[in-house]
Amino acid sequence: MDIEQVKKLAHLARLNVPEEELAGVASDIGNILGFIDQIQKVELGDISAPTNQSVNIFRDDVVAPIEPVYDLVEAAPLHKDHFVMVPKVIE
Amino acid sequence: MDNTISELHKKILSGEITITNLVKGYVDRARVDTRNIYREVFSDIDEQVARAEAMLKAGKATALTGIPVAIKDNIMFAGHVAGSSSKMLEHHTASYNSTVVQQLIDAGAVIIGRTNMDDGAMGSSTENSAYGPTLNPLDETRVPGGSSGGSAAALPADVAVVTLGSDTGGSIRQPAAFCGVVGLSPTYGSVSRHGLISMGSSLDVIGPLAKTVEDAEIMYNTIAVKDAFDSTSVARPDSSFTLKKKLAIPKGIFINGGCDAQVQANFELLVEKFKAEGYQIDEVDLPHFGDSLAVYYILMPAEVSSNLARLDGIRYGDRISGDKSLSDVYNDTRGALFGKEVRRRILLGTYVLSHGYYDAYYNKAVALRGVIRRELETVLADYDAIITPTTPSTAFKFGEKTGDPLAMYLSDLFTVPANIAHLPAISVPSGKDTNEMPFGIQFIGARFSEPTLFALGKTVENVR
Repeated sequence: MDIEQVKKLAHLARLNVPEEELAGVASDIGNILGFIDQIQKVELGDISAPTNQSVNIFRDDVVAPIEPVYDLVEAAPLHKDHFVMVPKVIE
Repeated sequence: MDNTISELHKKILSGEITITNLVKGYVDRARVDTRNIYREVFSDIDEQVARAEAMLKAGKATALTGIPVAIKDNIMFAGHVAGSSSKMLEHHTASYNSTVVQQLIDAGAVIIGRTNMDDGAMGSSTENSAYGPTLNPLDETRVPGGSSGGSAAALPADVAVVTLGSDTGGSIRQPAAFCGVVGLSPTYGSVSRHGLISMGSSLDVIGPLAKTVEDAEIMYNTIAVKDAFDSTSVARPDSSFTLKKKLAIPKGIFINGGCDAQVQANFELLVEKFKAEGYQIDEVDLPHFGDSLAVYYILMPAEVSSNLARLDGIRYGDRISGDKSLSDVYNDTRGALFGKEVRRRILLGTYVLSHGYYDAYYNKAVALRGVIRRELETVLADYDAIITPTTPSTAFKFGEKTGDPLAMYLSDLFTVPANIAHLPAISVPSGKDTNEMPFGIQFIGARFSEPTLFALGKTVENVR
């Protein structure tokens, strides 16, 4: 893991990493990858076979009121007249 | 420990104490406590107290009526801040009640505050809280564990009778062990996560931290309900059970080092005591048990990077703003308001999910997760539980592991397999080391075997 790779990940994650932290982050992530790479030694055969034991749980799609709609909008940092405010995206 | 739910419930029923005075005593102590256990002691609890008094008067008191409870800072209680001890959500007010909070309120419990935790529930010591660490009441130079460190420390400090935490890889059981209390990570799906600020959704559970196994059982029976708001929620089957009196130890857990000698000695002592109680205890082959932590550190960051995408400066929490473009708002808000460990995990998760690495990491980890789960379930078909120490060491000192993320991650060595396999696990105090710091013993059971785990935990309380 090098500084350029960290910059690329930071861009993909929409997350500013200060210039002075890049080297430390690269080294930490490199160490963690070194540890989790132990799973590469495990032989599992064909891992494309379905291994997930989870099952979907369905319910009927019934229309029901949601009480605090405006409260949910108010959880946004900037809002006005029950709308979430976002920066201008089209010039 | 004094002031358990059952003890206080009896005193409330007999009139020896009043709910009003009981709650006032806890709130007063919580307010002056200096160990950074609480992020906030609520000031608007009069209504809750009045409702509890009314339930008592009407003869409708449950075991939890009037009992002061604290909740972890990532559990939503309508009208109160749920901040995840993160700068990102410092001003985030819950717009609805989590299902667990609603269950507690319906039972008449009095929720007196929210407890400190690692930022975003990511950490094993509360040292990642944006508001400073919680001190372990048993030795204030040591960490209380994490991420539910405040919820654990509140109990030996007696600033709450019982608390709620959340557990993604050990965040209830590890701090419970470090603070000498009981911690239950319930069966995945038995307790609704509706209103829990998500971290790793395929791993997260909510559970109690308590002074006794009986108290943890009272809490579990109150909060474990099927809930339409959490699609992973399932109804609990019939709770009857028969003890086989057989326990399994994963072969080789002490071979690779990394486990403190005193922890191992305490564990072996407990094994002897269970044998004296007529238990058969076998070492069993669990070839991939030791791969759980690596699997966890792929799946968890992957889910973190995806779950925390919603914290973008637009929808929740705070925004670093000014006259900026949308992408600057995203980049600046997330860069400035997420703590260092949160940022590290988001970047790691982004890496394991990125094109070219997805098969080698994420898909391989998902496949291995299935193997680990089947191995554990096979053993649990024949045994009451798999037993391990809860943690490889007792509570460590502040700063001891902050420079090395991997060393911190290794605290979760024995706790992550239960989350990986969606199994319930309980940590029960099992003695103290030469520094007077508590050990915990962990029992991992089959799905919905909580009643068995409670019975085993009570045996520990009797023989330790």
